[in-house]
Amino acid sequence: MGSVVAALSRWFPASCALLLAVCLLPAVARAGNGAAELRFGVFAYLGEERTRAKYRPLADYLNDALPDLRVRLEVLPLDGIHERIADGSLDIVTTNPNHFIVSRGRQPLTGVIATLVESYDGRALDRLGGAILVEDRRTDLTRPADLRGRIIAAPSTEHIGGYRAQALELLEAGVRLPADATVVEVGQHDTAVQAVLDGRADAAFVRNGVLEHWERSGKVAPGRLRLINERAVPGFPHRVSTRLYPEWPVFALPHVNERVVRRVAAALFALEPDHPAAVAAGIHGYTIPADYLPVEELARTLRLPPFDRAPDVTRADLWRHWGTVLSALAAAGLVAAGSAAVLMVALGRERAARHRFQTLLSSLGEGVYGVDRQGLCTFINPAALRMLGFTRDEVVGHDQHALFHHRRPDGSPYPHGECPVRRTLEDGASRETEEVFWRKSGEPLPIRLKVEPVHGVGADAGAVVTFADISELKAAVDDLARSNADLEQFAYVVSHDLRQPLRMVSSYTQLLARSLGDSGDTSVREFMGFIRDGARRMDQMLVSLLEYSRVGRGGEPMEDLDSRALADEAIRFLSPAIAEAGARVTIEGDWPTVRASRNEAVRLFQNLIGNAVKYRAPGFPPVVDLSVRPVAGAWEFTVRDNGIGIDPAQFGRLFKVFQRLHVRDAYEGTGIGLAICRRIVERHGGTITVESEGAGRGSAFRFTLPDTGAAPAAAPRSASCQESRP
Amino acid sequence: MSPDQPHFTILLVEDEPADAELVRIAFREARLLVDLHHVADGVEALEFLRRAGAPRPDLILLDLNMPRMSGLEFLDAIKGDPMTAGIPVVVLTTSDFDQDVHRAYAKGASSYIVKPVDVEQFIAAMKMIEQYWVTIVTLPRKGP
Repeated sequence: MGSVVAALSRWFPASCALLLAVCLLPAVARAGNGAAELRFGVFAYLGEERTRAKYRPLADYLNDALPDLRVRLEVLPLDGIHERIADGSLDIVTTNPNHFIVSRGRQPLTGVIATLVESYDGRALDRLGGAILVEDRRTDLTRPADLRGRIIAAPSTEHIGGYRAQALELLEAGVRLPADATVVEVGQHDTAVQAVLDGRADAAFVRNGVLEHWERSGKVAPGRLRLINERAVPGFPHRVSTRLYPEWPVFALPHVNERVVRRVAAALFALEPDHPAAVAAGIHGYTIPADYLPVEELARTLRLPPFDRAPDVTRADLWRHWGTVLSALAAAGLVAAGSAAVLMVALGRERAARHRFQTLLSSLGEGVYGVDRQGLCTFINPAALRMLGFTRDEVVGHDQHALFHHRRPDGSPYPHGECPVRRTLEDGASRETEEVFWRKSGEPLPIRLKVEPVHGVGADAGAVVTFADISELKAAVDDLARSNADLEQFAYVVSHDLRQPLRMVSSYTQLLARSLGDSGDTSVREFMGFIRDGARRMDQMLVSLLEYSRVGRGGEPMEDLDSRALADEAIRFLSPAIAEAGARVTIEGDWPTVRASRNEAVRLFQNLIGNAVKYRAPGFPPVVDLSVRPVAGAWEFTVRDNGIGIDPAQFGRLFKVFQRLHVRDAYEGTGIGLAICRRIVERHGGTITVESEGAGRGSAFRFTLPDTGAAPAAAPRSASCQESRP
Repeated sequence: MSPDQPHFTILLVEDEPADAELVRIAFREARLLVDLHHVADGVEALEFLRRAGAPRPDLILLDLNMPRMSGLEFLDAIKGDPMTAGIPVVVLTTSDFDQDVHRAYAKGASSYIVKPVDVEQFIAAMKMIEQYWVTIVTLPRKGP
């Protein structure tokens, strides 16, 4: 990526300079000092002052880019634009598409030489559309036709996105504006939205993006406003109710020298989104002329100027009335389009690539910057600047390490030579690591960092660094560590502080029983037995709970282990119980290598096999089959038995803490074994399930462990192997 | 040490009176001549060891969880003092926490015993402690 940027940044000024050099042209209107004057008319759509402020930087930019021309900015109201076009005292004009169509209807103009690309919340938009907004609770307003007879707030009927686009959609639904509804012109888009929220209007016509802006800034709760006639426009970032129309055109009057037109177009195309003029104007730049026919169709269909004078006008009529004009227009347009095409062939591919690249960089949530071989920053994206609190000028051309990577997380100096970015520049290897950057304000910014080398020659070589803010992740990890520590503390309290008094109860009851000897009442001795039994069970439960809470804390580290060896070890531990029950345990198939904590995995097998042996049907020697098979991305282990089975209605309780399915007299236990199994399996990234056809029909416990792709640790074994028998 | 030398002195450091009583019962049942001194925590135990005229114990039975000064802190204190470092310490506690076991041995404990829950087993354990330390083990001679 770095090399593309570097190449482009070198290529652009050179190509522009070349273009300018070959295009030194005669003046358009001689100014006093001899430089040709180019009068740039702009419609004062934001009022004169604000519009001038917005376009001043663009005029300055054109002055810089076209040194032999003196660009004079003329901010004019609608009538002024029309007048000045009529008397030929403007050279280049930009205004909204309606005005362009209207003006074009009054006198010959050249075709559009460039179309504005708006920057809307950092996104490039060369088309606009409208939204028809109503309050979501208005169930009576669902279709365009429902707006008949209603009150509609619109910024003005001159706006495309704020009136005309919607009017066309309504017209197609049989509602002709302004006759069939009350249209209130409120001046601003925001005022129109507010009118709906205040109940003063039934619907608002606003341009695309306004609703998104209100929702994002919290001015209106998402879902409170709804669009009528919402259209799906793939790739368009805003919700719209209408078809889309091109953005503002820039066009030249016919008296302007064609080569000047071409140079202005070249300068406009070369305007980069990050150029101060573009930033100040809040625009993304200019692109090749859009097709303004839809705007014309819109005006014609709505019978708006210039199509308001001949009610039955058709394209044939139009041709008859305006044939000469249109021919001139078409010819001029061809010239302009031809010039543009030549330019675009030259600029097109790189520009498209750069445009895509810029859009990508701007839209990324991660920070991205490039460094050259010296570690000096060559570019940086907005997200990175936002996270670091620097401006582009403070970073580009400066040493990134010295600027925001100068200290280690503990605040000690971070030597240049140890910086991962520096090391990648030296050895050309990619790196990924966690680091701390330092914001301009001095605050630390924990990040995950990735450095990719850019191989190339000269200035192209360097590295690209991407980083993501992980402070929230860090905070969550800290919280988790704290919460685990709390749990450990709790386990300790349970084990010690609760067991201590319990020991007293059982010890002294026992001593009492001893001192009573045989002399006491039988029932007294029986009661004491109950007390001691209860205390003993409670102690077992406390121990179990402690054990449960320790899963994952006291475990051995994760390593690649032969799963067969784990099962074998569990069986060895259980051999007394297996022998006592006369159980037969078999292991089938080839067993894989898994990534696990040894003592926990053994514990898992031990609990499951132990259960299979313990919950045996009376009179049947237990038969336990262990098997494993690959499933998607994991190994599924099964421990199947011929025991007492489980009522499927009980499956839900099975893996919970202290849930016992049987009366204590039948099967001893605290009801924690399967809960521990589940905790172990989940900690290893697997799941555990149970199958049983019901009580008395045996059961099968299945759990998965992720397949980490490790090579089998053991040679294949025989298909069936008798592990233990009575 | 032989049974005719009756003055085997044990210092029991235990904050729980009921547990201290169990130890006492166990020694009484063993019918051995043991001088058992009981203090309630580490602070009292240090005072006992430093008090002029108090008998120097041959063995210390130490609980871990106590107010004021815990058993581990007490271990630090006496093992760091050359005058008391030679006295064997048997940790007698309800905690079976791995960390406690490791720490206790690291700080110089001679044994670590988790108190059995069953009173018969508890008494049996006390008898074994006594038998081991009084009759089997050779301890450093008491200083002048």
